Amino acid sequence: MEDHMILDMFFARQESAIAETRQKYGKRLFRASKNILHSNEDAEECVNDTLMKAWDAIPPNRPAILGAFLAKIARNLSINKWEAKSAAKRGGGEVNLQLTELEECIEANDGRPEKEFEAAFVSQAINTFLADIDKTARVAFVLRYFHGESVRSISEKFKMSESKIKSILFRTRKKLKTHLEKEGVMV
Amino acid sequence: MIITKQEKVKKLWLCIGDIDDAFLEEVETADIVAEKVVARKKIIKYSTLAAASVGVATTIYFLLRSRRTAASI
Repeated sequence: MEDHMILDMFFARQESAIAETRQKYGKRLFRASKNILHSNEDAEECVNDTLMKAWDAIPPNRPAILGAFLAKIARNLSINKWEAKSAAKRGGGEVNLQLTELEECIEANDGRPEKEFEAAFVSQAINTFLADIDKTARVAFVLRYFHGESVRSISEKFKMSESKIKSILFRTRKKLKTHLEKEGVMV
Repeated sequence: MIITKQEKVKKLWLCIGDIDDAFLEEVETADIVAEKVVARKKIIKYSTLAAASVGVATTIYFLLRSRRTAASI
């Protein structure tokens, strides 16, 4: 079913809108959530919460891209749940790996506390950065750091070796660091 | 406000969550593999054409050379 038809159902307050959304985006949301939480039950719960949030938000909102709208809700909910879980028990997993990789984008400062940066400014800088890089690097970056896909999973999608993907991501992180420095974000 | 590097990294990770919807849509629709396959097919096509051209040119060269040699004898 087309997105605009699903949105019309949301606007008409037809509960079948949730079923249709689950049918179309459920698997994708579950996967994204599981990449962060590493638990089928928690991921399923996040998908349900995402659909409920979407039900509450539409209307009045009418997202231009329903899939992206749902993905952002699912990511935020999964991160909140991950934070609650990791507060109780600090563990490894894909998220910590991603955070370790992203450290390369932050200017080294000898462990000293640093000034906080403006989130909206950083998001804008990331958007301009992504718009400038080539498509393969951009898709790999989004898959890795937005959707939390593993390097192996990305390499399978791209039909490339894992080392090639690692190298693309490494180069992209370096470019992001340079870009953020140029934009004055991490100073 | 002062924050640690770890908090900063996490903030960066959270900011990635606010990227343009268009980039997320691109991931869903991106046909990277298909594009690579098309590119590879193009390379194969043109390299086959190039190899065939070299083959034809070499054959013509040797034919002409053998005719010239035969004429000189």
